[in-house]
Amino acid sequence: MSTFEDRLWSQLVDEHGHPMRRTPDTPAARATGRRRPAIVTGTAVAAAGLAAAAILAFGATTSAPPAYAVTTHPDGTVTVTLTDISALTGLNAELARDRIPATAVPLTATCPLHAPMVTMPSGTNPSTYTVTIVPADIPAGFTAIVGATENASGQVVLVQGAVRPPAPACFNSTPMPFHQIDLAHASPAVRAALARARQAAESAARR
Amino acid sequence: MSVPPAAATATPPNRAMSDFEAVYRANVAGITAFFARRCSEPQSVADLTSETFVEAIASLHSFDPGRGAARAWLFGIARHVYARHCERTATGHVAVAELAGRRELGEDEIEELATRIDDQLAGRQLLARLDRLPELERAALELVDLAGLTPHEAARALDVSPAALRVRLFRARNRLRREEDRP
Repeated sequence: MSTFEDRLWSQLVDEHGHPMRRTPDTPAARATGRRRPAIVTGTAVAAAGLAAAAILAFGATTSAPPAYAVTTHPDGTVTVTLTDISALTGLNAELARDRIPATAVPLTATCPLHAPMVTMPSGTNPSTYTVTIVPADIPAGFTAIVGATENASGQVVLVQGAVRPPAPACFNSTPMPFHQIDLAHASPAVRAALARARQAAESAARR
Repeated sequence: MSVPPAAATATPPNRAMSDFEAVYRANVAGITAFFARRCSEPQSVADLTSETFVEAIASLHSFDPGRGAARAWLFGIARHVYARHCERTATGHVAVAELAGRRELGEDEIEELATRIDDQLAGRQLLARLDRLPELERAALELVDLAGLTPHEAARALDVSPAALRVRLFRARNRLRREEDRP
């Protein structure tokens, strides 16, 4: 066996071996379909219809890898990959197993619960199509949320945020007027951001 | 090609992993050669070979050993990977798409892959001569006569019936022969 072949095998096991470590009955093994690589822009994320200013505006699609994966890095950050929306349950089981204080939830048009989540700095690496959670950025008393939805092409779009626990079963993905956003669980930072956004919208309306 | 036992890995390998490693070991040289016939850059050959096996892992759940040999399955994936590579190259998306997950090669690996690319010179020249053949004929001839798949495996890789594959293969060989006979 050559050097190239041995090193490639090591890379495959280290970076992509997740599905092989599962039994055939797990969601990862059941998940269907390979997805083609694609780049999702900010516009695509906006099209996912997230509540203004309440969820940070970054997204990622996935490219042909396992249905889901959770990787904890030495610096404490956690990279979450999801390629198939139907694998959310498996992803959450994996997060729980790894004792990571984060929950993946679907963003749907029918969920009765609208955001707000706390916005967090972008931890997304556009070249790997994953979301990276930085635990140090999650405010005290909050838990990380990975919101997952599909764009018009059926590709998974991930967003990241934080809520006060317990995490809800879903979030509504449609935009809503600022005044309808329930701020009961929002952090001061989100309230301030929303207040600024409201002022900007009102002054724009007056002009 | 003989299949060595599964190598030790950091985590105890389960059956799926050791099974896949056997498939990998048995086919990685053939898949590398497939790309070495198409690319003259070692890094490209490495990236596309890697992408093929990453896709294979991602679609392990859909691989049914009862339906066909692993080799046919992998060559089917390799063909898709190469088609996508061409599409990306044509649309200029190659930089972002292919940098994802790229592993920089060591000098020894570059040397090794350069040798493999040289080894495929005859195959590359043959593919170039077959350029005018219909795609399916060209693919049938390559998979059977260059990559060493059985006609049955090639049919699975190309997602056509074995009978259709044989017809294409027969036509491709005939065309090639006629071309060789031409003064």
